[in-house]
Amino acid sequence: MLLLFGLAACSTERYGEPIKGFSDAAAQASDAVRDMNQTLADATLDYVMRSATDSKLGELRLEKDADCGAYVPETNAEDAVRCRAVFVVNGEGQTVTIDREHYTNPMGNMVAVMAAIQKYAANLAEVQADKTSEEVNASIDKIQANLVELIKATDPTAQIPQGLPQVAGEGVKWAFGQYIESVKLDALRKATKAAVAPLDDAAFVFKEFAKSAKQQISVTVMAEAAKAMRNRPDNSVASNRQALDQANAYDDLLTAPLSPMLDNLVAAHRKLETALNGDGKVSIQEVFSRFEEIKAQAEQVAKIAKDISAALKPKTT
Amino acid sequence: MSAIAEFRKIVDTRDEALRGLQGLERPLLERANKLSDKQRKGTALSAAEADELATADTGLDRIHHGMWVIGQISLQAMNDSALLRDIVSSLKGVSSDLDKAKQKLDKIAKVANITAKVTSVLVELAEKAGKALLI
Repeated sequence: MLLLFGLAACSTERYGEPIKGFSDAAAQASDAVRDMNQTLADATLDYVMRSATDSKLGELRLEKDADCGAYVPETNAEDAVRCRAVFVVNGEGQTVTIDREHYTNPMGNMVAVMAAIQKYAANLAEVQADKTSEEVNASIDKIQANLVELIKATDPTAQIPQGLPQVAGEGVKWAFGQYIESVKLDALRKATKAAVAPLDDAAFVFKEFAKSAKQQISVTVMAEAAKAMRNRPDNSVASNRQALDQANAYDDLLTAPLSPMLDNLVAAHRKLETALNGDGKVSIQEVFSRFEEIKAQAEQVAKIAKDISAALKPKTT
Repeated sequence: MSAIAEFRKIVDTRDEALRGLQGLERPLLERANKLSDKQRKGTALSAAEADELATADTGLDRIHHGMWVIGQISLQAMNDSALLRDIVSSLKGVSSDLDKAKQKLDKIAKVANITAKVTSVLVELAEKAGKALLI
């Protein structure tokens, strides 16, 4: 009984909204990272395509061109030579090979990290929103009714005190409910605690990916902005407008809130973890403060990614 | 070397190389801006200045290309780093523990459901037997 009273203080209900909010924010952040990955892919392909037209900068070639004859069926399919086209780009005494993965999915493993965060957040929400208590209550109602029927069937003259089965049933429901809540709370506590370290690592890693993505896109697309600003000897409205558009696009890219978005997500998770495992001093409402910001940041990143991708598309005149 | 140390090394190498190129970029950028400002304000550039501007522009293109190559090498190394695989693996482990909790909850619901079914069968049997049963 003491145990049950001890359990009575623990309920996962108050964590429902923040966990759902965390799960939604994780999905939004994941989408934004996917958009940025696509934009970086477009920018990479655009850049290597242009570099390949200048033999001093790079070339497009087959990976194993000496082996790339007509296809002959092999006994073992794995022995067949794959004739993949690659870009070889040179610069500053370095050579880098760009294969299909690099210009279609350059941050593929970072996208996988975001997918894992999204899955974790969704699982957290599923455990919290679990309806086992309701299912168990329905079963207990059936058991109660069956027991009354059973007593009547075995002894038609038996007098069942009014209200007794209901009272007994409510007690069983309460005890089951507390047990179920303790299972849920325990799972949420352990999971949030275990996720703190990998989420911190993910935020650190993503900060560096964001820098690299910005740097690569700035070279591929936005270096043109500084050039456009310089190269307007006529100082005309048209050349000024072009320079202004490019400078603004460059500024949008540089200020794109890529890593703050994930920092906010990780900070929200940390508050959630502290609320679940800590001394109860952290208000669950504090977790919410980050979600609106994450949503706005994800929308901003998605818009910038879309604008850059549009700018990279070949112009039809 | 730990996965995080390996990742930091990639990042440090990238940053150092980019800073080195930035050191070359700045004087060229300054010179190119000065000459193009002069031109825009209506003063024609001398042949030597026009040549200097073209050289600065070419130099800037070359430096930016070098920055792209360094960025690409580091991006590929970051994407292939063990740290990313470790993070995914840890998060998958946490998700799997949450799945186990869900299974445990399902089991509780099933036990209650089976108990309800058993009592229902007992009622049926008792009604059919038409005599008292001890429970």
